[in-house]
Amino acid sequence: MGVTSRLHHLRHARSWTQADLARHVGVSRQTINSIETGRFEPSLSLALKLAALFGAPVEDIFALR
Amino acid sequence: MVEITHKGTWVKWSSLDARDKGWFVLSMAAALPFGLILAVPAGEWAYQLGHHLRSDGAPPDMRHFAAIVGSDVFRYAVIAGLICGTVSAAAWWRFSIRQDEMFNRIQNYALGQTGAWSLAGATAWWVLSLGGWTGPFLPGPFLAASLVLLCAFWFYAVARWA
Repeated sequence: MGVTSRLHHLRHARSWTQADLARHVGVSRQTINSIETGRFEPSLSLALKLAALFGAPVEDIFALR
Repeated sequence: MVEITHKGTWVKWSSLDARDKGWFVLSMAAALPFGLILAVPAGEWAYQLGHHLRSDGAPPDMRHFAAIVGSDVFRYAVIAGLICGTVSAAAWWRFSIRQDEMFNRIQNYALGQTGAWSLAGATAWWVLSLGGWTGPFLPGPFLAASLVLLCAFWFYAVARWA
């Protein structure tokens, strides 16, 4: 069972690059890319950071596939 | 934050900041003398294997190797190599703790799997040796096999997550 995310959509809504988003949450651009493409499931702390950054609940960004 | 490239064999240099680069370069530079020390027994095994394949069972002439290994220079080089290996490992640890969770998940997976399989392999070797099925435990080939496993699990983790 994997995880899907709306990260790509949310990032585009703010006209951010992957590098921009990576800088905001303190990870590499590669990590953001892997999360957006569904290869990497973020830790709870990173998911909460992303949720706080976008002002949305975690379950609005991530969902079980 | 580091980005892994070339299917796990290198990193994107521009993704590292100045401190990352410092730890990375120190770790790689210190690993070189340690690798040269390991290359001596590796060269011995390769020579013995090549001789065995070509010589109808005649014992190889290892006098030159014995002279190198038995010299005082080599004895002290081993100590220096071990210190360099320790410095390399410490620098890599400092580099690793500055990286993000994906890098550390990949590294922890590779190290964890290698540790578990190496422990299982060493246990199996030892138990089989009790029944006379294998020879005595040899740390050299065991270490070589563990390094191969570490690379395999690293590449698998990079392909899976990065």
